[in-house]
Amino acid sequence: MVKPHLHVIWWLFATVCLMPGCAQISRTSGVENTWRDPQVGFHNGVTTQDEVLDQLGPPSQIIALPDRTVFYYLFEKTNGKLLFLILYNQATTSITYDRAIFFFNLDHILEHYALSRIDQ
Amino acid sequence: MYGVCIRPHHSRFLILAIAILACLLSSCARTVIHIDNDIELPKTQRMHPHTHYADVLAALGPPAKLTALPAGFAFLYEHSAVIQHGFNWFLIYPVVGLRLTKGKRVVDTYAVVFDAHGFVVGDGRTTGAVPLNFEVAISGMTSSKQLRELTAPAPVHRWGLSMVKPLPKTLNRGSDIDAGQHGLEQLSTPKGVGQRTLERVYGPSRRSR
Repeated sequence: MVKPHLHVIWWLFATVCLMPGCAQISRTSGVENTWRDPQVGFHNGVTTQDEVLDQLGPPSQIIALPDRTVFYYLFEKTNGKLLFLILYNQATTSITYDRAIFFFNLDHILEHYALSRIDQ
Repeated sequence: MYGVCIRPHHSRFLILAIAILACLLSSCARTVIHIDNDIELPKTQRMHPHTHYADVLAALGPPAKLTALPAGFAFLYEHSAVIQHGFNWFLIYPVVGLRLTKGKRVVDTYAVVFDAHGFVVGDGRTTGAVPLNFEVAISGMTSSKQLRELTAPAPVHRWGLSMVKPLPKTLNRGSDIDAGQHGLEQLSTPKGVGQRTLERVYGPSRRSR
């Protein structure tokens, strides 16, 4: 007869009770943020609509403003971390957007543009 | 030989403990969601009238949304943080039980309106915490409708589909809030009010869509 290893049973029991589970999710949508490519460049008063389209491809949205046309590029990223401890669960999700916006005048020349902060 | 030997009274206790654990388990849950980047403008600072939109772009970056207006255009910057706490008491883990959920949303919203020449004519900012939800449900794992709406992909991704929406929405395209031509809407604005009222579908026909 082997001695009962009660501590093993309790260890298994505690493991089941406190068994941690975790998950990480990542999801992206929108256009590829090629405006972060160091080889891509834009110059106010010089770059044309055609050049922007050539470098970045079709925008997420085109908006007609009075006397201006806007190209709006959007790259969306969702990151999530989930922790399951049975008795306590925690989920942290962060949705960040990398945007690029270009304002063109009636001559199709870039007036101004802006990019989202790069530290996001 | 090495092994585990469980005496009968230990076995009974273990089974009882697991049964209690499985049937009467309670748990807490905490959900935190950060939506979009912080607004790069101190809360007490405002854009001066007649500031050019290029300066606004340089200071704050691209807006979350923008729209054309009859005499100009407008930017909307938004940042949200959702904090939700829940308590679950399970009869059968994790399928059947009682679920209590309470959440709040910390919002920071800034809107800037420009004239046709691109100069600021007005701005407004809202910051603070607002209640998000309080739910009591007798069921298994449920997901809050508000959370689903807040974490849904940005409408900009669906801009190209704006002309092929189901009929009530297509008929309302003259007031489509997502088109960038007919105004702005803050995140989590109720869908049955304002310009979206005509997009609601009521009655049995809703099931067929």
